[in-house]
Amino acid sequence: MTDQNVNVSGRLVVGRFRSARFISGRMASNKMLMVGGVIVAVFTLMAIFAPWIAPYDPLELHIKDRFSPPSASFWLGTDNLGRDILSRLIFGSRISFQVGAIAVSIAIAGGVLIGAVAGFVGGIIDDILMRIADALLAFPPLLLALGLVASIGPGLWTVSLAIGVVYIPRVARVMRGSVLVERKRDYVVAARVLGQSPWKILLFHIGPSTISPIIVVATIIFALAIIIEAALSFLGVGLVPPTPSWGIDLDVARHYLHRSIWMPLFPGIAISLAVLGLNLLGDGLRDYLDPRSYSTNAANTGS
Amino acid sequence: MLTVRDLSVEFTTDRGVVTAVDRVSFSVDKGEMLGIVGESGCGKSVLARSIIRILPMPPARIRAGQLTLDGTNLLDLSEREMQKLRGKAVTMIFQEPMTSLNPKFKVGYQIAEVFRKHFGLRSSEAIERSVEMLALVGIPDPEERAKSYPFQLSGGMRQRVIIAMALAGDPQLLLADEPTTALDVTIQAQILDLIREINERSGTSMILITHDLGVIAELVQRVIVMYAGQIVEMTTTENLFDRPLHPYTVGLRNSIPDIDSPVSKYDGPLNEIAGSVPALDDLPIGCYFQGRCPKRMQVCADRQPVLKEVSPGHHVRCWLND
Repeated sequence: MTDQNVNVSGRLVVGRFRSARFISGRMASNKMLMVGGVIVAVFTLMAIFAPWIAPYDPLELHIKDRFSPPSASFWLGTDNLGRDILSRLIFGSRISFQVGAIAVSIAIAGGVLIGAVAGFVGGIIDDILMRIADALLAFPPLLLALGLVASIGPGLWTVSLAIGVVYIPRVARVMRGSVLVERKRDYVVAARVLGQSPWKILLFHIGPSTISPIIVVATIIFALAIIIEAALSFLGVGLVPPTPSWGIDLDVARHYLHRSIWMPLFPGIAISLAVLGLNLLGDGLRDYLDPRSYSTNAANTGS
Repeated sequence: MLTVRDLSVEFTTDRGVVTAVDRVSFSVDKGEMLGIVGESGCGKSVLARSIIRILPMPPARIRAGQLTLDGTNLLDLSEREMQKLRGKAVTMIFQEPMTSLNPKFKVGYQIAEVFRKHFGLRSSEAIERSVEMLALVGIPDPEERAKSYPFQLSGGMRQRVIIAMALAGDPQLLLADEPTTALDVTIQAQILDLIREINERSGTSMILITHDLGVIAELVQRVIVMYAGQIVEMTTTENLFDRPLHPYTVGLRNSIPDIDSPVSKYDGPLNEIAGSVPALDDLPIGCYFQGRCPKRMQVCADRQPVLKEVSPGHHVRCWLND
């Protein structure tokens, strides 16, 4: 009995590691979460430690070894200027993850705020905010980001900002949805009849329950941000060469398809793998954080 | 103490405006326990929620000749002023103990919130007071229990915690919306005892909303019977059981199975009131109960009866008593 209680409280109370083994056990049983987590972790480590693990400087030219296929000295070959593809990929993960992190932060900050206000205040404010969000959602994200970047100029920060802004409505929708669900909960009404102020109810009673859907949507947006950054760079409006961006490398490789299969192959794999990892992580987290997926263990300790 | 005169609550719906509570008048004295009974949808919960003003407005709209608590006109207060009164002057407890506590916080902390909010106590003091409250509502080992999360408590325990939360602000008026409906019968009896004990000790006035006449018999001194948003009978508990005057009240009274005559499939069906409550957007002209009334007369279909005091303290809305 007590053992079970400890287990269950371990999962209910975020940030309390009374039963780390129980949590990690549940995580391990979720294959998507595991695989996605490992892929994302590898890319993250790569991004953080890029200067230490990359065999060469990503901008260093090895003129004699242009277009070389994978070899002992250049594991993934070199590009048209003789730069090491592996090193560029490793530094490219840095760019991708920076863009992803900045864009997600902006999207979450804006979306959570707008969604919370819309869902909690309701009425005409909700209508106005959500109609604006609908209008923005009607545009394809890439097109909207393209337009934004075109108007404010290229660069890592502008690209991240543009992507972040594009995804604010999506976060706002998710946030509004969970606030609408949570504000109807009995304990929220109970807090009201006890005289709790609205902002405190929003922060303490509604807020914590919205965290898990937001985490999930953040992971998905991270993946989308990487794709959009690559696409913008590929189209020549994102980052500026010679920045080691996966999108730029793909764009350059396009011109040399007849000379080298390795140049487009590896950046393409990197993008796919990173996005796959993030999507698996997102789906896995969704299942993991969904209270309905708690099976028998939680049900048995109902009383 | 609480005076309600001509209180109406209307909801704007897609099919027009419906009146969920129709010109209800009553009062509750200090320390009194008033019961409100009626079927689902008769407006009893809406009535309570309109007193503490937690109905979503719009679509709801509250109108009243008078709605005063201890001289304060509740309808004149701004939302911010009302918020200060909630929990302190008037509070409410709900039917579902399983979901009325936030699963993410310890129960002691949740009770302490009320002390922090209304009395400005520091955290340690507030926790001490909430342990006292837990002891007051009869929770064994309150210091340990204060550190429990709601899921670690049984339904009866949770309802005790909820009552402790409601009492923490020392309210003058407690609205209890079906406080025992979700509980086992034995736990129900314990919670009813607790409610009575609190009423006797603290002198808190209570409005007890229920569809269980047994609860009424146990606890309250005076009863309001509601039907389709209107008060159809208002009298003492004694009169309700011994001398019910409205055919609806008589029907409710008769539908309680008699413990001395065992009910089995050989004894025929249980007594019931035929038919069902009319939809609020499709009420008949005349008496709202006419469609189900065994003593229907011609006048019932033509004109609506008014609530009349037929003997001191006994009000009935029926043409039979004219």
